[in-house]
Amino acid sequence: MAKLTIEIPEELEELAYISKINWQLAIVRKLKEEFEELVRVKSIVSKSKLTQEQADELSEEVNSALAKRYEKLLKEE
Amino acid sequence: MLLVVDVNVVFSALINKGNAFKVFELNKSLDIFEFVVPEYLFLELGKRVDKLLLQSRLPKEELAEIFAFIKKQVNPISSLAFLDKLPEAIELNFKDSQYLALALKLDCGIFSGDKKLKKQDKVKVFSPKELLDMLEEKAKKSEENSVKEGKE
Repeated sequence: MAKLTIEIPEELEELAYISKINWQLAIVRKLKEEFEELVRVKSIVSKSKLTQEQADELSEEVNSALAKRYEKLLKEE
Repeated sequence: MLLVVDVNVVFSALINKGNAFKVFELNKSLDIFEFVVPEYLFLELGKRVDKLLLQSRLPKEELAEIFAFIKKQVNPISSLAFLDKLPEAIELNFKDSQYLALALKLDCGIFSGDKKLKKQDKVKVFSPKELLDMLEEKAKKSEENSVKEGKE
């Protein structure tokens, strides 16, 4: 099993003491959540059929719309 | 390091084996870059979701999960914060003026895969490959330090 050493800021230490936090459990749980999320999103992206050309076309549309929107806001100022 | 994010890399993050996604993925752990966007970016992106669903062939919930993952890493900035820089930005490039204005205001670079955006010298533009190289270099150094600390 890998071991991890971390530095806990003082303010967090006080909070943990009040809440009676189990550090081991809290950190392992948080790490598990983070890793599972990463694995999930990577898996989703690996299934995507979007091409660079399609991404560029969508970006052009969004950016043109944004530019017009902000120009309008500037004129209303 | 603060960077303005072009929607171009948000869409590119949906490309399988693309560098844009790897940047968001690695930055989640290494936290080197602080990303900001003009506040209406996700609103305009949202109007293209149907097209995106068709082209990516991803289920709606999974597309939503990717955007939630990216959104957690970017902070939207109100137009009030950078509108004064818009005239200058429009002179440089109208289509990308919102990013240029925000970058000029915050005195930072832009994260974009748009090669045309690099054709100005007022704001530094970083491609996905450039940011990925920086992240991988940092990851390598962190690993070397951990090995060194483990031996001490």
